[in-house]
Amino acid sequence: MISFDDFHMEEGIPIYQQILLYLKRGVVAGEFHNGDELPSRRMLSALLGVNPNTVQKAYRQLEEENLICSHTGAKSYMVLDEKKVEQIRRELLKSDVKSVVQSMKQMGLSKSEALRLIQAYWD
Amino acid sequence: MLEIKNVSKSYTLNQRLHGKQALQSVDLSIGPGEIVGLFGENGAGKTTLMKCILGFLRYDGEILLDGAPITCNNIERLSFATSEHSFFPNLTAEAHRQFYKEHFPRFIDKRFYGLMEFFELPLHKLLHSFSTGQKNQFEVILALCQGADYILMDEPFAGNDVFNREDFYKVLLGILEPNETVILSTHLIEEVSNFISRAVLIRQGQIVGDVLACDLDESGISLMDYIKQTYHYSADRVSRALNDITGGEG
Amino acid sequence: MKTIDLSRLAPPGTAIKEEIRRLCVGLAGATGCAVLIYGVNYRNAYDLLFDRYGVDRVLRPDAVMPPFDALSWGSLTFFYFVALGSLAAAIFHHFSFYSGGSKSIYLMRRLPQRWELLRRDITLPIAGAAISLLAALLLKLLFMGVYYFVTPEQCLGI
Repeated sequence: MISFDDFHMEEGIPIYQQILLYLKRGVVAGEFHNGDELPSRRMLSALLGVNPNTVQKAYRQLEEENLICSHTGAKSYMVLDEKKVEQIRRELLKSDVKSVVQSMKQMGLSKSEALRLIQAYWD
Repeated sequence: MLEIKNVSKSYTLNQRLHGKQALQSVDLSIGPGEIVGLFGENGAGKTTLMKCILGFLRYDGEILLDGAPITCNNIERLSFATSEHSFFPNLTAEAHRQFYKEHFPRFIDKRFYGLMEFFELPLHKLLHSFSTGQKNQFEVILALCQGADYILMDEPFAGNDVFNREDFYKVLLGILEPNETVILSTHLIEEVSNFISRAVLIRQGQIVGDVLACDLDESGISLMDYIKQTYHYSADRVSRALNDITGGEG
Repeated sequence: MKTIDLSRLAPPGTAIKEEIRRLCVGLAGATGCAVLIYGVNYRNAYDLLFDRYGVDRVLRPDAVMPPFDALSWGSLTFFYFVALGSLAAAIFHHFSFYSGGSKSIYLMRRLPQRWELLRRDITLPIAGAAISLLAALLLKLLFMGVYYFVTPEQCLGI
């Protein structure tokens, strides 16, 4: 069963998106695999202390992206293959880099300054 | 479906004379499975509204449960937990279970014993010897186990520490069936903002806000901000209106 | 014999034994007062029927016993007080029961059983009042018995 023990709620981001991100990062990090069982909607809602509608929204989105498959009896399983994992990885990377670039721009850095910083901190 | 139609309530002659009412033309419909947070300042009318729903107070207007008025025939579908407590101080928890079971045949024994165990409450001690926090917990347990479809809770956690309350929200989310509805009036806005599916704001006896939690989520506004915005807006409206009305005079 | 579960006739958690004890004390007191008052009245009236000559006493020829009502007047008043008192105090106690510390009235008014609240509030007080009045009646009959059987026949008032 996929564990949500390390899930920490943040302010400002809709919770269903946080749940999506948590699962996607876990997939990319290799913690969650194809066929892993997710907690039922009700159980996850109780675990996190959030309304079941929120969990439902997250799960529905995962279903639409074909990342999970729900059977009758409230059980849901991850549906992954190499191609999908790679897709998620790229997706997450893209949004992470975008937000770093955004905050650097907000700080007033020029492109060359930004690249120099990255060079310095890469190693 | 619990339908509150154009409900008004005046308490005192003084109120009536001054055009103030405890509740003023309240229209609200609550469907099965919703977890509704009822917010408002002290005296806004939250408790009055609940007491009207339960039939403790007379009111103008209509309150219907699935199309029928609330009488002793369907009152068992409503349960109530209040910060004033409604249990019998000289009975034990087990004796309460028997009393409830006798009068509310849909009482859920399994849930009762499960919750009593989870919150480590004694079954065979008299209720008056419980601490305030334990009394609050027991009050809520009774309301949850009655077998009601609409569970009304009026500031049920006054006096419980934050860990207690968090536990409760989580357990509640775990045990509630899809057909069970909770109407919870509370001051603890931030705490319940993830827990509720809908927020209803009452101010001076009127509904000034009614929003679904997922809509708030989508718009990126927090519940606290929504409440602040709404109240501010209301006050502005009133002062502007007053300005218009009295502006020409002196 | 089927025992009646008294706890169903009073608000849940009431100390019924204590209430019964109080009723018994009240009744005992009222009985004592009644017997005392009537006893003294009757004894005095009885003595007046006779003339005393030293140790002997002789029934006066024109002796008439005062009417029963005159002799028994006032003796049973305390029973009425006990009856009224038990009614008022118990009903008040029962209704206020629901407001102190915990408002169990909110639960009682939510019960599908419409008459539960009323039944629990008035049954014992009314029973107490009825017992009180019944005891008064029985004592009255007893006093009447004493009056008619002990008084010499020729002295009985019309």
